[in-house]
Amino acid sequence: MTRRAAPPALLAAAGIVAAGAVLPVAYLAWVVLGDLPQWWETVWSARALELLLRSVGLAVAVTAATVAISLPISWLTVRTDLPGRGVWSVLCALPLVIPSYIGAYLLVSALGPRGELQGVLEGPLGIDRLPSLYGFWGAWLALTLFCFPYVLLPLQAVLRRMDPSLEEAARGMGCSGWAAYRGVVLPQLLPAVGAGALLVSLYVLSDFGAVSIMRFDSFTRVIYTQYRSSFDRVGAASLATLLVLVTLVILWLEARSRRSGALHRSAPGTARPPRPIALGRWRWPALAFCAGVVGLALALPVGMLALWTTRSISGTVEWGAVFTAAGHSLLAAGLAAGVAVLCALPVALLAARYRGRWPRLIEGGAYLGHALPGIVVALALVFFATRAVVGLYQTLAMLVVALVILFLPQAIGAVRTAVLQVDPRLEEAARSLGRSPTRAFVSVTAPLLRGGVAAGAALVFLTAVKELPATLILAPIGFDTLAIDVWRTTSVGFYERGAVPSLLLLAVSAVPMAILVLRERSDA
Amino acid sequence: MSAISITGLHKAFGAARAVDGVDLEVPEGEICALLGPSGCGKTTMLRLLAGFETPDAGTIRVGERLVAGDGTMLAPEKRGIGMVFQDYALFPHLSVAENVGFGLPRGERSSRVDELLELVGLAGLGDRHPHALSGGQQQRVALARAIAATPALVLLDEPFSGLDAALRASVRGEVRSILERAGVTALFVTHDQEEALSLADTVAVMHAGRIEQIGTPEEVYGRPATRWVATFLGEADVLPGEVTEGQVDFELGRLPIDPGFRGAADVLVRPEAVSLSLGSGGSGRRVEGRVVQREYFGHDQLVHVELPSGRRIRSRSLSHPVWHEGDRVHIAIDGPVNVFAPTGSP
Repeated sequence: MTRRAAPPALLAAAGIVAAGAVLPVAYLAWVVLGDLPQWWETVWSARALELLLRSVGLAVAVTAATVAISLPISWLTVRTDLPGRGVWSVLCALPLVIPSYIGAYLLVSALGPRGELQGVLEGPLGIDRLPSLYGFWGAWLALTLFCFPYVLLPLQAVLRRMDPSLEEAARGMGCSGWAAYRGVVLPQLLPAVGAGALLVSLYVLSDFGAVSIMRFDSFTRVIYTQYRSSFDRVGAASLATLLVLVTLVILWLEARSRRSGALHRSAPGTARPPRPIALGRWRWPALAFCAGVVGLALALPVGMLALWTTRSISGTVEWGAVFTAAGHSLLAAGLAAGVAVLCALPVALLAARYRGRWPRLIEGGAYLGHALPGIVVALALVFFATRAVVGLYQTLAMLVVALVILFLPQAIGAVRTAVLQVDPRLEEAARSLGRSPTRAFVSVTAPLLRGGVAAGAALVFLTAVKELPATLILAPIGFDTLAIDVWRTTSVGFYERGAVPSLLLLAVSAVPMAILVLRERSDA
Repeated sequence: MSAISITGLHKAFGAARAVDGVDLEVPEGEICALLGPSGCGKTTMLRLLAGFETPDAGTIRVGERLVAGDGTMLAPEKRGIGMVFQDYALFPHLSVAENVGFGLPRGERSSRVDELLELVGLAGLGDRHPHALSGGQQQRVALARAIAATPALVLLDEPFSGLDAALRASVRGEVRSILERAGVTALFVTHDQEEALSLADTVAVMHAGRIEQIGTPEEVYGRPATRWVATFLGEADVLPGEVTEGQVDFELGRLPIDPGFRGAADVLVRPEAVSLSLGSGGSGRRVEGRVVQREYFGHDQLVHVELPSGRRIRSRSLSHPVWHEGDRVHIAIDGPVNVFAPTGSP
């Protein structure tokens, strides 16, 4: 029962995990803020403010574009008789699988200067210059195309649950279709739009892959170049704290809007399925819109990847290096997944079964990685390892720690759900049958948590294997992973050489994805 | 010897006093029902006994052994108390046989499990998983699991609430005979008076963290100790009366009852103690009333009658004779009534 105090051993284990997640970043803040005048000088400079403006501008532009794409698509795929709406739904979710740096590289190689499109146009039309894709608009395009499912998916979920009779009631009172949508449907969608927009803006602010390929100087790229080129680590760290402040402001805004926002009530599950709205002649522009989005976000990158892969294979592939990198990717992500679920267990148990100040605080601490860009965590660990725990620098362990801090929240989420599904009465039953608390947990609760733990591990693996900035900064010298390989070759224009590692990366992350999807199916 | 003896038990959650000074003795081999409305503290009592909650004050003994209180707090696994949970809490990842054998030492598991499955009438179903069983079967698995290690005491938390009404009556009989054959003392918690009265040897009626009355089913129903017990257990109508010299006067007559006080009183009359007869004739002081409503249940009927004073009283009788609204009837008291000091009530 939740009303009893948590066992000290559990509290201690979860406390250690939370402290471990918070410590490096706290250390970074302590070091940077220790020299407040210098921090202020770095942060309150024209350059830093311009950087802030650029990053926030990009986040706002991408968020607006993803909402603008998702609102019509969600409505078309859920509420109308759009031909093949099931297929469009699936196709529109798939861009989420493509890591931003791979997507950006494939876009650049297609639409950028001296890209494939120009090659096609040059012959018959004599066009030898396309507007440059590099910079703000390139980053905006890439991030919009590969992030919009974050908004689309929750929108579709809400639309599916929404009671259609509300909309019909509005129509019955004389509203036109559009007025009914704006007056009744849209307000109910707002919380989902907000949640999706938060995810997108946090993603944009923390993204390193797309902006670095698109050569757009946002926070993460500037922090990285500063860290790499000048060894001005304190300067990079000062900018990193500014970036953290921005993400915290966004989280705070979101929490505030959720508190003041209208309670949105979804209809009970028994609501009859809505009758699809007939599109009539509008079917063709609707189809064209969906096809355009899917074409740019999915068909184009997949086609380019296929093109580069065939060219690459018919040329020369350093298979040895590729497989070594794949091995490294599997090793780092696998270790991260294993360690993350081990760390998640005590935190999830505590959070799911006990209330009070300490459990809340510990859960909050363990969730810190959720709000932190990868590059900040990496930088924090560099500081921590070079100044506080010297033996850790340039080891695989440090990379794994960073990945665990970043993705621990996903593992906790999955395990916590599993814990909540296990009735605490089962453990009590085991105790009344003579088992000690530990043995009751091992013989009853643990076997029942297996599925949730596997899902958590798969989720962490999936994201860790694609992770770029922390891996780039923390991987020991010579420990190239697939992500590093892709980024290093394609950021300097060797598109062919990036193809095979990209394909492998997608294949490797497809396996845990399939596990997750199949599990969800069997649960349903 | 008592299987359970509880003295001065207290347990509060924050400001809510869930158990507020309970004393209870349950003789060995008996089936005792802890009966009360939801929120009266009966489930907390069970959890205190099982060892899932620590008492604030008081002692709990199981047999001779002190299990809680006086600085002792024995862990649940050391108490040797079997428990049947409200939703059975069967281990979903284990088979029926593994569930039943969970608390048994490895060596004697298989033979004892077969014996238990036989006892509860589930022989041959040991390889099934709990989700493949019906509600009644699941309940018997839970019971077999709880008595497997021959505990001195079995606790049952609302054991029949998960079953549909049609099944309940038959399962009740089965459970009683299984408990008797196993020879264990059982304490079960319920909010259903019919369940408590029909299944238990002793009924402890609980209200607001205290036990209002302990007695046989006949005692608590027929001679309720407090007005609350009388109205909680079964139907009753309240009529004002006057106690004088070992008798009570009220609208339906004069009865020789000595409640131990004098003056104004509330007379509680159960519907089955009110008999109706037709028309005039007959001797003595009979009161005449008018039928205002009739509820027909097949095997019996409940007739609402308006008295000359305008008060109403209910009469429960077999299905005959058939009364109709507007019928004039004679009313007589034909059974025990209970008299309590008035509490400023209707």
